[in-house]
Amino acid sequence: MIVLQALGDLGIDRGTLVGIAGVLVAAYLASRVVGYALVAVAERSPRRRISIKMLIPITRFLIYGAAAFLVLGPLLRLSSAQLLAASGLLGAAVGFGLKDLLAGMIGGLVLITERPYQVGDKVTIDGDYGEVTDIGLRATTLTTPDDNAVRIPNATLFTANVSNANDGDPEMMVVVELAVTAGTDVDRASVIVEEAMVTSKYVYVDDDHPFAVLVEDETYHRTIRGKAYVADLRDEFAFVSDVTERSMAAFASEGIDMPEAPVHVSEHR
Amino acid sequence: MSDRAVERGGQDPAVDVPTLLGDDYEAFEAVLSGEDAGPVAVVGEPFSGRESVLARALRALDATHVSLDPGDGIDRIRAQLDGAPVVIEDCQHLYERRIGGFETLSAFLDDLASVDAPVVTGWNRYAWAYLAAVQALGPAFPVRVEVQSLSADRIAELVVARYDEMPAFLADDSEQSGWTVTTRHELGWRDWSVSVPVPTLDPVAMRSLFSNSDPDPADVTFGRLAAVSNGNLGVATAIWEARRGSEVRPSDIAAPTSDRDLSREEAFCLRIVLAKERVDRAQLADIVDELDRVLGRLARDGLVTVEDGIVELVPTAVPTAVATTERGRIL
Repeated sequence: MIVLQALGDLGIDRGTLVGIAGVLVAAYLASRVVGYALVAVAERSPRRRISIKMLIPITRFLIYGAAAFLVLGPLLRLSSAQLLAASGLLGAAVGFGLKDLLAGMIGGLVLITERPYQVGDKVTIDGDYGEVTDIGLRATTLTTPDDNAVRIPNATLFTANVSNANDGDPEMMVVVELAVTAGTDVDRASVIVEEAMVTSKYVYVDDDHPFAVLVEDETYHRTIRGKAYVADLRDEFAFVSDVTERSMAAFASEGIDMPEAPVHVSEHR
Repeated sequence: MSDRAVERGGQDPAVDVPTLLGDDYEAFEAVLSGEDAGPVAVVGEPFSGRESVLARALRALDATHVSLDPGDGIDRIRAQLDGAPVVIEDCQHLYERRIGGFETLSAFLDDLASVDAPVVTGWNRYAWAYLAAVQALGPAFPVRVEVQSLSADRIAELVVARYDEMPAFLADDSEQSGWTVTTRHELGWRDWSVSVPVPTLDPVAMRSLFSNSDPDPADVTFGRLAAVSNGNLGVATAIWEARRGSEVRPSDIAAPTSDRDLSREEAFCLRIVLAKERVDRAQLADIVDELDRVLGRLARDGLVTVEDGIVELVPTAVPTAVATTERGRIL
């Protein structure tokens, strides 16, 4: 009752409160419906999946922005004294409790305009690697290869490096590493890795998406590093597994020795 | 028409080669007349009439004919590369999509580099696109000609010419016919190209919209046949064979489609069959997981047939196979 009376003193009556609640509920429902529809459309169009998904945070910003305007409309008609009181309250709230939230929201706006990553991209932010599954008002959600959801405040963008593996494209370069013993036929092993890559069901090759095989001489072994693109970045690990499995089988059948101990663990697993 | 061509939904070799090759005809004739050196690659969709183009080369060059089958090795070709002109059909059988599967192709390209006599080769366009991307096939063939899509009028003319009697053409109910048809167009960049579906206004429907008279159902039917087959005469003939009865309506003309989305493994298997047209089941067994189930489902959907250890692409299924595998972005 006291709260209602205080709001009444500020010129906010019960009807306005109901209107505000209605606007917020409508904004929430609209953002859910639009998000669901855009995801459904994106999944039907593999080539434009990421571009379509990028519309999701933009529409959410627009919907919540419109809701904020509608909600704050009555407040903007406050008298000078009321405005002073409200702004003081807002300033104190921002200063003491909402500083990080505000920084996250500004980071979100920067994300929309600069687009260092989009929904659907595979990124590393502050050491966390995964697919961007949501860009919210305050935080970005990554889904890691182990299916963990990591929520990273958008303000992190101002202080941490962001590494984007595909930069909005549906294709993504994937690196497959295999080690062979120093005395083995490394040329043949390289051909095997190359053929394993280009015959994979996940591979994507054209002039803009070439493939390559590199050999590095280590102290006790040689590392064969195959690089190729997958047509859909979600097939990253399936491609690695497919190429590794078939390469190892071919190594075994052709007498190409691999070191006994594992020599490399990818940072992305 | 050859028996094999008929079986595979093929066409009469008498179809004129200039129509099939379009702008590429001049380059093709230059090689046949000795003005330009080969080797030549004749690239075309499955059942689109590559055989007719190669038959023209065979006659003009008085060449030796080699038709490759699944599993054929390099020895089959080497025996014929003796300095005389050679026409080699179905070169997509020179590779297998597995580790070690490019050895025959590599040996063939090595041999080709030292041959002075004209060599004309026929390639499935999906196999060609794959090999051009992963094996740099393009530079080995200075002359490449492509079999073009035929217009609706030309397809109508060729289909009608095959039969003594035609069925009665009936119009569809107005609510069944649309104003747009979807055709596929090639978008290319250097050696790589992709076929994209493009909805266009149906000229026959548009004509009917602005005219007082109803369109001729035969025109509508053949317009639809050309659109569904993407101007591929072999596919159009096969669809016509499958759908014709005593009466034909435009809506009867359709390629078989699957009611479900194909899995990645099914689409991959279908892409290999699309690229090779005919493939040994044993060859697929090394490449495709759970092959029995995959082939069973593809066969039930009317996309492939499996007989005597050979998996074969169904001609009417080409439009569906192309659309499905390109939607899945399978190379």
